[in-house]
Amino acid sequence: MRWTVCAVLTALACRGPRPPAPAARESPAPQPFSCVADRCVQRHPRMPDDGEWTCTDQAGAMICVGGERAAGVAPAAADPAWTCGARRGTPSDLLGSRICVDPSPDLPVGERADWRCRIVADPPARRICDRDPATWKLGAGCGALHPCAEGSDCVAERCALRRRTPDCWFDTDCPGRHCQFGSCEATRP
Amino acid sequence: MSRAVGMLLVGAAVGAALGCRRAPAPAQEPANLCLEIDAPTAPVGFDAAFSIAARVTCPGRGRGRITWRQVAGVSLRALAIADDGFSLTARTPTLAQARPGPLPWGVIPLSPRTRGEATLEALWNDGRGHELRREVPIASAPRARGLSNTAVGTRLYLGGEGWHLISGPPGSAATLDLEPRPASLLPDVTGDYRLADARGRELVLRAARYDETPLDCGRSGCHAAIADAAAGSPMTTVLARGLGAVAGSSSPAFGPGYPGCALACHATGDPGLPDGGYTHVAKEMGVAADHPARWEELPRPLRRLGGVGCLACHGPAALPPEAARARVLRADVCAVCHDAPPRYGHVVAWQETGMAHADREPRTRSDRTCARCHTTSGFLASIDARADRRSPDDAEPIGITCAACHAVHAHETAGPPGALLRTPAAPSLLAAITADPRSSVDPRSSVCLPCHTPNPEALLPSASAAALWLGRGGLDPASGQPLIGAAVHARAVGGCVACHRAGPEGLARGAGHGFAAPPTTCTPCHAQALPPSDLATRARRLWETWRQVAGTSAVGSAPAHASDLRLDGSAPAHASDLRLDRGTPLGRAAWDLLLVIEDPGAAAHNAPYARALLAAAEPAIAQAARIGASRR
Repeated sequence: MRWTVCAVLTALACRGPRPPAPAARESPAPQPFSCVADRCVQRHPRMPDDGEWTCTDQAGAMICVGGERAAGVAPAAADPAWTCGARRGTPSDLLGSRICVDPSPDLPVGERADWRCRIVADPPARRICDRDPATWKLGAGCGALHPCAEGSDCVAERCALRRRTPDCWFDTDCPGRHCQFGSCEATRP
Repeated sequence: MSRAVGMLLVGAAVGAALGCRRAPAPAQEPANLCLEIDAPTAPVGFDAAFSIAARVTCPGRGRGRITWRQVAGVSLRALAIADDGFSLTARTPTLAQARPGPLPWGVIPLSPRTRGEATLEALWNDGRGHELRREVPIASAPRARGLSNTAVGTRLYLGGEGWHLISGPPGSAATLDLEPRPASLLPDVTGDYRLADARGRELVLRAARYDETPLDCGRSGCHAAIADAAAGSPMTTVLARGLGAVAGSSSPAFGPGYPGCALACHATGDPGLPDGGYTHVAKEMGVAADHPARWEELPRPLRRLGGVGCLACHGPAALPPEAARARVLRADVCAVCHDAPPRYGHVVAWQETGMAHADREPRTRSDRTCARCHTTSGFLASIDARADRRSPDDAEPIGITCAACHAVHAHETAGPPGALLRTPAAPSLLAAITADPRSSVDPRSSVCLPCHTPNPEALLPSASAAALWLGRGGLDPASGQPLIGAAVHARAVGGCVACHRAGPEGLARGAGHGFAAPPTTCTPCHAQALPPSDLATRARRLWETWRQVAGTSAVGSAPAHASDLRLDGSAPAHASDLRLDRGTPLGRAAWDLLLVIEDPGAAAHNAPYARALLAAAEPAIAQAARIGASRR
C-alpha cells in the first residue's frame, strides 16, 4: 500500500531547502489504455507530480492526497493539469497533507460522461474505466431540469467542476461540512 | 529462462538490452538497418544453447555472406556458423567459467563481467566492396546485486546446496529450477518467496516490480535526511542531466546517442526483462526508451525510474529482513554497473587491493577494535557514530567496499565532481595539521586518514602511513613530547591518490581503484630514481635489539611477552598482544620503531621523518641496553 506520511509543513521545516523546482511545463500526453469490451485499463495513470499519491476517481474527476516527494528522483515540475492545495487541519492519518484535483483526467475513447473510472492501488496499480453512461458524472448534460451535482456548475450545458483550491480528503477534514471533489462544501445535498 | 527472441533493428537497442561495451555512439548509419538480426534479447541461461539468424533486407543488396567473431566477453562454446553466416548457434559459458571461484551463499551476485556476457560482431560483405557491421550482445543471466530484494521477471541464481522452495506469494507459479546447477528461481509475482537450503537455513526473497515499489523512503522518521541529500546526487540526476534537464536545451547534455545503451546503468531495472524497470515501462507505455527526450518531457512513471535512485541499488519490494540488510554494503551492489571491463574497471581494480580482503581473518570481523578499519560496517559506524551496522556473524567477508569511501547518498562531497568521497573528521593525531590551511592537505585524503593513522591512545601503533606522510605520531623517547616532522608530500595534489592511483592495465575507467603506487609516480618530481631505502632494514634491526633489551626482565619497562612479537610477516605488528608502556623511554622508542615498521611505504611517504623516528629510538634503546647490562 502506498502510504504517504509527512505533512508538507513538517517536511519543509525539517528537511532544509529543496532543489530548485524546474519551470512549469505543458501537461504530458495522455497515457494509453488497453481495452477489452467495455472495460479499459490505464496501467500508468497520471498523477500530480513525481511524488507519492493516493488517488480516487469521483464522478469524472481524479482526486489525490499525498505529496510526499519521491525519494531518489531528480526534480521535475508538477503536471499543470492539476489544481493543488493544502489539506485542512492536521490529519491524523498518514495519507499526506496535499490535495490535488484533475478535472479532466485521461479517458478512453468516446464521451467523458460515458466512463466511470476507479483506481486500483494494489499491484499492479492501475486505473480501470468501465463504460457506464447511466451514472451521473462531470461532463453530463445539464440545464434547468437537470442540475449539476454539488461542487459542479452548469457551464455551456455541461456539468463542470467548480474551480476551487482543493483542501480535503475525508469529510472529517471539514468540521461541520463535508468533502466533495476535494473541497469542503457548506451543505449536504 | 525466458528465451524471447526479438527483432533487433538498431545498434542502440541492442546495447540497451545488455549495457554499454563502449561509449554511447551516434545512431547507427541507415545502411546498417539493412542487416537485420534475430537474437535473444533476454538472458539465455548459463551453459545454454542459443541461435542467431540474420538477413539482408534492403533492395538491391546481394545476399553476400557474414563472418562472425567474438569481440568481448567470456568465450562462447560450440560456436557453429552455417548458411554463409546467416545462421549461428553457440552455447553460453557455464557459471564456473563466467564467475570463477567459490559461490557465496544465497543470491549469487552477477555483474556485467561475471554474468556470462559476450558480444559477437557480424560483418556482412556482398563480395563487391559493400560491408555492414553489427554487434550482437548475448548474456547468460541478468545482473544481480546479491540482495534478497529483487525484481519479478528476473532470474536469480542461488549459492549453496539442497535448496527447496517453502512458500511463495499467492498466485505465484514459480518453481525452483535445480538443474542445471546452481539452482535458480524466477519470481513471477510480487511477494515473499521463502526458501531453505539442505541445512534448513532460510532465505526470504522479496520480489516486486520496480515501478510498483513506493518511493517513500524519505518520509519523516525514516530516511528523510538521506532522501534530501540524494535528491541532488549525481547518481540520482544522471539521466536528467544526460537528457538535458535545463529548460531550453535542445539536445541531450551527454551528447548524441544518449541514453542508448547507457540506460542499463543510468536508469532502474535491467533492459530486456519484464521487471517494471525503465525500459520495460517505456515499452508498456509505447515510449521509445532510448529515444532522446528532455527529462521534463518524460512521463511520470519513467522519471521515477530514471537515474540511479533508491531501488537501483537497494532493489524493489518491501524492506528486507533485518539479517539481510548488511548485504547492501557489498561491492556486488555497485558491481552491477562498475564491473564491466574494459570500460568500467573499478571493481576489477579494487579486487587487487588489500582493502578487498581486509576482513578475511575472522578476528577482524568479530573484534570491534579491528572491525573499525577492517570491515565496511565497522568503519561506517566509527565515522558517523550511528548504530553499528555489523554484518551477521555468519556473513562472509566482504572487505572494505565502495560504501566505505563513497557517500553514495550525498551530493556535496570532496574530490572531483561525482566522486562522492566521504570526508570524515580527521583523526586526533592529524586534526591540527589537516585544519591548518598552510599545510594544504588535499581533502580527498580525508577518507583515508582514519584507518591509516594510529590512535595515540592505542596499545600499539597501527597502519601509520598517513601519520608518517604528515610527519606526526612519533614520541620523543626521553621526554614523551610529540615528535613533529616536516610533511614533505602534504601538498601533493590529490593527497594519497596523487601517488596511489595505479591499477590493472587496459581499463578505461576505475583503474585507480587499485591504489597501487609504482615508482613511476615519483618521477614527475624526482627525475632521478630514488636510491634504495635502508629504512625497513634499519627499523627491523633496531626492533631485534629492542626485543632483546625488553626481554631482559631487569629492564622492567615491557612485559615479558614483548619478545614474542616477531616481525616475520605472518601478521602485522599491531595484531599482536604486545602492550607498550609509553611511560618509559624504552616503550616510547618501541612506539617510534613500530610507526616505521607499520608503514611499508615509509621511505616514500616521508623518509626524513621516518629516519628521525629511528634516530630518536636508537639512543634510548642503547641506553636501556647499557642499564640492563650494568644491572646484570
